[in-house]
Amino acid sequence: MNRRSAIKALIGGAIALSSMAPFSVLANFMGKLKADDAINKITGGKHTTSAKLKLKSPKLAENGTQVPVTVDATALIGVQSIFLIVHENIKPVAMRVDFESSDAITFASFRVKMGKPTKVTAIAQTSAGFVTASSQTKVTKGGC
Amino acid sequence: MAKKIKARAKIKNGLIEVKYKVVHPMETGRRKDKSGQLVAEDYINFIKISKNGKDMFTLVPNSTASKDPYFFFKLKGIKGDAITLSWISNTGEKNSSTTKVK
Repeated sequence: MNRRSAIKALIGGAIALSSMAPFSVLANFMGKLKADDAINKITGGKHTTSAKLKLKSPKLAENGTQVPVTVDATALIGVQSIFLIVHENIKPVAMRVDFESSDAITFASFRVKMGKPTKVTAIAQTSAGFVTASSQTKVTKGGC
Repeated sequence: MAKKIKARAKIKNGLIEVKYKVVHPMETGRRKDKSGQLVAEDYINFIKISKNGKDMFTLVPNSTASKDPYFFFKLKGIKGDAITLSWISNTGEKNSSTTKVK
């Protein structure tokens, strides 16, 4: 093995490790826990609120099984991941989205279940730290 | 059970807009069936979206993502790019589908 292939192997190993890492971390906060604990586990307790992170969730959701949520982090720089936390759910962390390429626009829209009226928080992991945005959604018919 | 992936990828305002509907029950493990038995947990817990074989988005949904999860993403690209979505569920089931950008 020459020097070049040794470096390649090293880098390859590092990439494999880093792509595996989220799973071990995820197991910690994807389960049943309190929303604030989940947020602290994701951010390490350090986060700021910003109007640049836009979270769109309906004020009133009639059907709690299909609540459309949109997170728009295009105004932020260096966004790596987005987390969505539904505070009143037994498993508060509903979704994690990682942006793997510069071609991927830091925007995501998807649907989640909500058990009852709840606060919804989006967390964006940027190169400069964690940014959060919250909104409130009322649910008339729970879906959890 | 047929677990289809419905996909639509179109160029709009210079960006590819991808819409996905993955047909999947997304059982939380808390719902009871007609006979009162709990339905076992069965949900997608890993999704990868790639363009021309290059990773773009990695999604980790929890069981609280909706039934038949629906996703809407935007990415840079051109007409004819191949967008692939593949998912794995907590039971180990897998599926994937590729669409051409129109």
